[in-house]
Amino acid sequence: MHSGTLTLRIDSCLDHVFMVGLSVRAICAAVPLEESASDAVELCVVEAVNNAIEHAYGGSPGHAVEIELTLDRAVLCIVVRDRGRSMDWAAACARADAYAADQLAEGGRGLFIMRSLMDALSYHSAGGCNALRMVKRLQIAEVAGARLSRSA
Amino acid sequence: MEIAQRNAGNVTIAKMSDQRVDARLAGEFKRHLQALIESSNPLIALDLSEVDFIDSSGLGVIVAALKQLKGRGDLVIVGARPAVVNLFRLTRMDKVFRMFPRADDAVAALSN
Repeated sequence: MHSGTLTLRIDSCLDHVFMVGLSVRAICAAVPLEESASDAVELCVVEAVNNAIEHAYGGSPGHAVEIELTLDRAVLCIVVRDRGRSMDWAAACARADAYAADQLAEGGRGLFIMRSLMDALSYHSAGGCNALRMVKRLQIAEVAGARLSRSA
Repeated sequence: MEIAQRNAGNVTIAKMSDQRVDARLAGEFKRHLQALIESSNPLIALDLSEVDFIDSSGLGVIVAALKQLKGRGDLVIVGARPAVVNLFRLTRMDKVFRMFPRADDAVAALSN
């Protein structure tokens, strides 16, 4: 089982977010995760980074967004950090709740997606740094199990 | 961003060529769909068969297009790949948009 920590840093520019998504997907493939789990992790990381760029930095480039991925046994922990405007977490959760009740509601869709796909989600602001932390318990792909059985 | 358009009867089939429909493309995607709705018959089959990643921004654009139609027409989804289908299901957009595996199926449904 792979383990370790990787930190990525991008400029607060939406044009760069795809690189984070593709990097995360490559790591998920190496674990290996089921395709649907890889899709989910990639999507949640992209949503979190988009949020940091659009809300914390108001869409303006020239600021850092840091993405820390820690793989430890069967848990993947992802922390997305920015040093922009902190989020009103309660209000954001209320918008996600509103979306859950009405899928045509404006806003809240990104957080709704993250809450739905991740096993744990939390947000902290301290010392000018905002951190959105996501935890995903991993179901290792059946193909890996099949490979191990064949080699045994 | 490229969206190839063709007409099949009174239906406009709009096929996206980008593999990722994300926040980077959301503004341009929105302008494309708005123009399409304003300029053509508002029966639209949005072909996502080339798209393997879509985020909430991309999804929001499709929802906004449906709202722009205001019941004057319809917008359906064609050829969505598993990752896109899963996102539509998760966000319950599969209850809002009819989804078809092939453009012909969508055209037939919209033409009825």
